[in-house]
Amino acid sequence: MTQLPITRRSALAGLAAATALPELSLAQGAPKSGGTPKSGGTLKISHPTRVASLNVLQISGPAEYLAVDMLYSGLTRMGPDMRAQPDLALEWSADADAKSFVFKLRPNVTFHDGKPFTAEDVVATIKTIQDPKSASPARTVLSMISDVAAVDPLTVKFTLTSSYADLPISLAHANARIVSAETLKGPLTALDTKANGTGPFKQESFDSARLLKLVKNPAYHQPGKPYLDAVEMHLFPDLAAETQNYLSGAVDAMLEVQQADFKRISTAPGSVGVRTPSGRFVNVVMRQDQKPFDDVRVRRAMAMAVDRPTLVDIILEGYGRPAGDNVISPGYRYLLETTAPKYDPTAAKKLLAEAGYPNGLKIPLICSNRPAIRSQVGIAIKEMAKPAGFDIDVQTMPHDTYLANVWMKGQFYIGYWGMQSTEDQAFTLLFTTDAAFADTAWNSKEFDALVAKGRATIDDAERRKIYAEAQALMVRDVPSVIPFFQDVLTANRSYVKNWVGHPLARYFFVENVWLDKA
Amino acid sequence: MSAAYLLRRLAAILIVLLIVSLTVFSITQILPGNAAVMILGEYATPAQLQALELKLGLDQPWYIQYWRWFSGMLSGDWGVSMRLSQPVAALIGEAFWRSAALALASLATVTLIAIPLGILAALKRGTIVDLVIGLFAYIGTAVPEFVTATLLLVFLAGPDRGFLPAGGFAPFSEGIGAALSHVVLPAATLSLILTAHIARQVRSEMSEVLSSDYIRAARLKGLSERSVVLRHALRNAMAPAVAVISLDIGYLLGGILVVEEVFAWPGLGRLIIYALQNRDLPVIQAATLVLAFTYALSNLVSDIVIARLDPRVRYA
Repeated sequence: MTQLPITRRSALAGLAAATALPELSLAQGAPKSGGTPKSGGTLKISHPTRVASLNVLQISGPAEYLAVDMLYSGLTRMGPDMRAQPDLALEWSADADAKSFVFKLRPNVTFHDGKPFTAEDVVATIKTIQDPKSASPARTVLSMISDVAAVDPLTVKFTLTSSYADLPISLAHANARIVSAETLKGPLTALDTKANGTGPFKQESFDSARLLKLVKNPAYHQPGKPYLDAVEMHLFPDLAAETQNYLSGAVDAMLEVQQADFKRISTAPGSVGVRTPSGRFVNVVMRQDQKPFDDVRVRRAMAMAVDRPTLVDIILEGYGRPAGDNVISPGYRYLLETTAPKYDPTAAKKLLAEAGYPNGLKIPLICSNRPAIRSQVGIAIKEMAKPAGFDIDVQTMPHDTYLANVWMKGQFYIGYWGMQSTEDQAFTLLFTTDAAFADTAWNSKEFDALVAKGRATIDDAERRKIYAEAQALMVRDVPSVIPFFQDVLTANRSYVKNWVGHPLARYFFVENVWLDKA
Repeated sequence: MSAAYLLRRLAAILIVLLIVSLTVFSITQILPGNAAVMILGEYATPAQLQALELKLGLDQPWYIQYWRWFSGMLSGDWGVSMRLSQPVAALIGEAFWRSAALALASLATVTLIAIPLGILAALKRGTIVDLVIGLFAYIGTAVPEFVTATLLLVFLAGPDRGFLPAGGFAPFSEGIGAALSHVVLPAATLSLILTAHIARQVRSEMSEVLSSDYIRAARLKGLSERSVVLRHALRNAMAPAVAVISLDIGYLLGGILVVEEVFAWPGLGRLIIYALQNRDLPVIQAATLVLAFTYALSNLVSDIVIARLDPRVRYA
């Protein structure tokens, strides 16, 4: 049995519009259809990597995101509709130019060690993140905060260096969950193995190679939740072993399912596959400060030489959707609907000739071996682009060699990125001149200006207009080929209720999950 | 065997370890890539990278890094894993015992099955029994672990079979049944190839000994066949078999990498693979040394056992 609740609805109306309200209400406490939640039981979830660390300020792995989501709460949390929901903050307001924000905090919340949660904990956490020594990935996301202060024990005020309308979303960052001020006074390395959050579950035992055991936090701030008594995360390094364990019923849910296995797993007896459209993408980086990609005609020729629907079919096994070099996917709020370039090798060949390559272009394409999808895309593109005159030599290398020698330096290589929380984050990740990872070296003053303007605009309609212009520029200039968006795939036994997929794969809402075992 | 011999051998082991440590250290230095980049991944800013490099001491010249590490190893401070942020000694200690448990289970199986099989084949030379054992030994040595492992998984741990867990590890604190059920498949995989190898070795040694003059003499004396085989022949045939078993310990250490990965056994093999993928230098270096030390020690022990078994072998 395969349930594709989000896909079907979003195919009609788009993810944001269709799934926002039901999932939002779920997070607010109303149970989703499928019976009355029952309390009790242990949920066993598996993942094929280690949980290297529980340090909420630093973690960056898929299994770690789930672990800290259950252990810690943030001021806000991203709903599956890609909007910020209240978590430890009950409500917030901004001034007219989005330069200062006031957050009202939830009263009577305690950390797992019993200490009360107050505004001081928020201030201490944000200040720690801003300290370069904490090496927190949230630091760049919160770099616009110039000051954070406790107005009273349950009110926090943020002052920003420049207007930034998305602050509530940035505060939902997985690495920006609130740690107690007292814990932060001690050595930060203590956070690696010992968690003390305000989340729905408390840490019981932690073996980073094998098993993380969590138990219900009876003092969790959402009354009646979590429903589960305990959660076990079983860590398998090998996909085959993980899959066998799931299929044999030893675990209740797989956090991540590979495309190649999804059909088999979701049609197995008693198993439900959950497919969530996402903005996760592979991109073919064409560095514009180097020949031949300094010529937009070569980049456009490349874009036309990629057969996107076929890539979705053969690489993603259908679990994704074609994209048109625009980094904004349908899950975001301000998508500009554009059509992907049609696969047209003849036109591409002509364009390549106009750009000065009448006899075609011989060029190496570098792929890292992790994850395998990079080289799969590379090999497929090599064949697709052949009739257009591109003679591509695919070179696959170990991931660390790729990171050291190719990434952010190479001329032509395959990148792989998760979905970001906002349009602004998606743009500033790779494409603005001062992007965190200025992979493509696309230095467009026009684009930069639009992104800055969008960030400072609170008016929804105005913002949509600005972002539409930015996306149109991206499609025109093709800073990189983005051929498709990949779905997030998970699976669970049918007695696991309310296991919800999330396009960002970083927020899990396990406090809503319950077991309907006979 | 003299004390001087033992001391010499121990000194040799120390020199080997020194060379291994230098080699591993230089290889990890020469490899392209940077530990800080590997740890923080594609999501780190240059400032974060720099901060981490400083923290890990990666900005220091290699010989300072080496000395810091080597002197730490000697004084018992094995450093802290870069990726797992836990003390290396504790990580390796835990993983080592899990691997050792697996290796011991395999060795026990091998010894209990392979030696009797080899003896049986030698006694029944030329018969159908010998042929069947020989065939098993050929197939056993030819099939790689990942094939055996996959076949075992499919036939014994498949969804509709589910006799045994398809991987993972349970400590004894979770119950003896759970602990044993997890060890069966990986130990069986490791055992197959070794059983085949050692059975062949024992058969050939036994055959040779059984056709030797002193065995004929023993038989002529009128000793029972049981006494001839177990007291006279086996003792002499075992010395070379012990040498093979000790060499196989080296093989076992390699095989464990594959088997632990397939069966999700959280031992030294998996720790090394994880450390390599994440360029976790302190773990790679310490784990390699531990493996080298185990190998050298197992050779030494086998030499001692052989000397006890075979009076002709004496080490001055």
